Amino acid sequence: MRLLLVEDDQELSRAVEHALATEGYSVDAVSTGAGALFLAGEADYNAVVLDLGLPDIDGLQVLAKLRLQHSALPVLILTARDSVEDRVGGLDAGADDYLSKPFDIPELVARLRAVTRRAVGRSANTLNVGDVTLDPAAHTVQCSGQVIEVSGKEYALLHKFMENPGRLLTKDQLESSLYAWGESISSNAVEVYIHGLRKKIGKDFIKTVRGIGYGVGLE
Amino acid sequence: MRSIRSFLITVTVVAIILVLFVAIVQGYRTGIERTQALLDEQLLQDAQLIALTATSDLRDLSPISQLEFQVWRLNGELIQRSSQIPSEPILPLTEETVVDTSFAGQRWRALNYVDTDRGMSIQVAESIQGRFNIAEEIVNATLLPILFGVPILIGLTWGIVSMGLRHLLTLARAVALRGTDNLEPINMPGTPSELHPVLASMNNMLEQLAGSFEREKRFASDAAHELRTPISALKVNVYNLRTQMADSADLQGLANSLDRMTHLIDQLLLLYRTSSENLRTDFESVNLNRLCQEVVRDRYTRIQQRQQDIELTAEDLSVLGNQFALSALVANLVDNASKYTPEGGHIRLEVTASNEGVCLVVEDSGIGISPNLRERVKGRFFRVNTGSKVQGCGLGLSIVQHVVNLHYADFEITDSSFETGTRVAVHFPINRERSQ
Repeated sequence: MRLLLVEDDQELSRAVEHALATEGYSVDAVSTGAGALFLAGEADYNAVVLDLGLPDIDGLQVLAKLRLQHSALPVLILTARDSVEDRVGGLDAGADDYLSKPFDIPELVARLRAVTRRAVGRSANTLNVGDVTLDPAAHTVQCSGQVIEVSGKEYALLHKFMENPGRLLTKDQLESSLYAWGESISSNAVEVYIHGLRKKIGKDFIKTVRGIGYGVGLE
Repeated sequence: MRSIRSFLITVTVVAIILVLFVAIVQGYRTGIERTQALLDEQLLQDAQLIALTATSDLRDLSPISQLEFQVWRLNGELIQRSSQIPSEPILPLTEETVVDTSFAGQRWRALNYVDTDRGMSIQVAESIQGRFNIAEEIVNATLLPILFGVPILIGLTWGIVSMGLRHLLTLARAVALRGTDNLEPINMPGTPSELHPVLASMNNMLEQLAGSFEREKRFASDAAHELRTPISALKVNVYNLRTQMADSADLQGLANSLDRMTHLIDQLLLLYRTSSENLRTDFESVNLNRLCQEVVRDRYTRIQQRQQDIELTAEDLSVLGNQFALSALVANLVDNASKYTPEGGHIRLEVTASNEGVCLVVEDSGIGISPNLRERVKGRFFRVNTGSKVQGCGLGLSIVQHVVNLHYADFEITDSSFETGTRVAVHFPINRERSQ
């Protein structure tokens, strides 16, 4: 796994580089946005860890340029800014995940693993969680090797779940994946389609957290 | 001086009345004098007229002209006289004079006219009271209309002063409507030049205030940035040390202290940021159901690690508030609930409508807070001595208290509906709205 670490604080950069190297990553560290854009063009990275507060170019601009040139490259934002607007801004600009300082190395490693897995999933065109496999290219769902027929909206929901394994998703987040279908949705649509999915792929695959939301691959 | 308007009106009206009074008194006096002079002239003409017709009987004349008269020859012979006048000359016969005199129990204005051609002296007398009445009638007819004008003048003054002060009132209203949140400069087109300095210094003050709020806001985020990066480096370094060295109690202690410091700094910054009254400037309608969902979602991994069961029962209710501060409130309540509840315990959130507004409840099956400590835990840096290894800095409920104050809400701590544990209920005031 090859990582690009963009962080202007020398001390933090060195320590993170060391920690990630210990975890088995090969890390290239740069302290400027220009350097990051240059290196991203030179080498093939599996992921970028990007600090937003850079001395030369604003981190969000670096992110936008990275997205333009390397659309599939997973980017994890690391920042000391923690306001809601900053979070939303970062994710809107195309970041795959967001970690605010100070952070724990195990959490950073876990998130890196998740974003790279998702990227691999994108390129391999299949998503796997437990017994269930979803193939976005063929638009098919398999459970324990058996192909399962799902409706368009059930498929959209399942896709959203499989992209975010181990994460709890709120009803709003799930509804937004149904909006892509361009129709108005009734207030209990999410419940209806989850009920349908459970009948087809088993009761326990999608876990409910009452009042909060749903998730797959939760412990 | 209570009010500029009443001051101006009173002073102007008093000044007008004083000037009018002096003018009327003066006018009355000169008016009377002039009329007297005119009447004297008239008296002379009457005497000359009598001289022309002295040979005929003039007795009938007196009731009409209200004149008393004597017609004398210059040698002292009385030719004729009116009824009330005495038969003695009232004035010296040869001297032409006008004087005040008295006879028949009255005061008279008497005139002696000497007609040398006819050798006669005509003496006429007119009642002073009568003359005065005539004079007064003339003067009153001139001056009274001015007195009638006084109320009109007062009314006009009131109107003019009010109109002039209109801008001041508009400005006052503009300032009053502001409240403490709006620090935009006051912009009032058509303000009179006298108010420009006031408006300018007020706007200057507002600008400075807004600037200091802005600096305060920026300080919090700057401080966050400046503190967080070195702490991150410290944490990663400690992590690296622990992977390289055999785990020792000292390294464990270092890591724990670091976690506590990190948490304390986070909470301090949060406390600082939620205490700003300035957060009220961007109050918006916040859906508490969604907010709770998002807060729990972001914390679910940690809650799951403690194998705690969490659920939310919420109506889709909104309150007017600041999204960031309300998130901090719910996050602190949920974190507390999770921290002080053993593994495998329960956490329950509730958003319900009440008579007074919206009620947010977070309750747990944890260790609870004894009733005598429930007020004290709201204070800064106060922690219940649990004797356990629960980490915290004692700022959580202070942040809750701040956010609650910011939203004109209140909160209470009671026993939870589980067998043990704490129930925190936050009551938001009536401005709730039911979304969709």
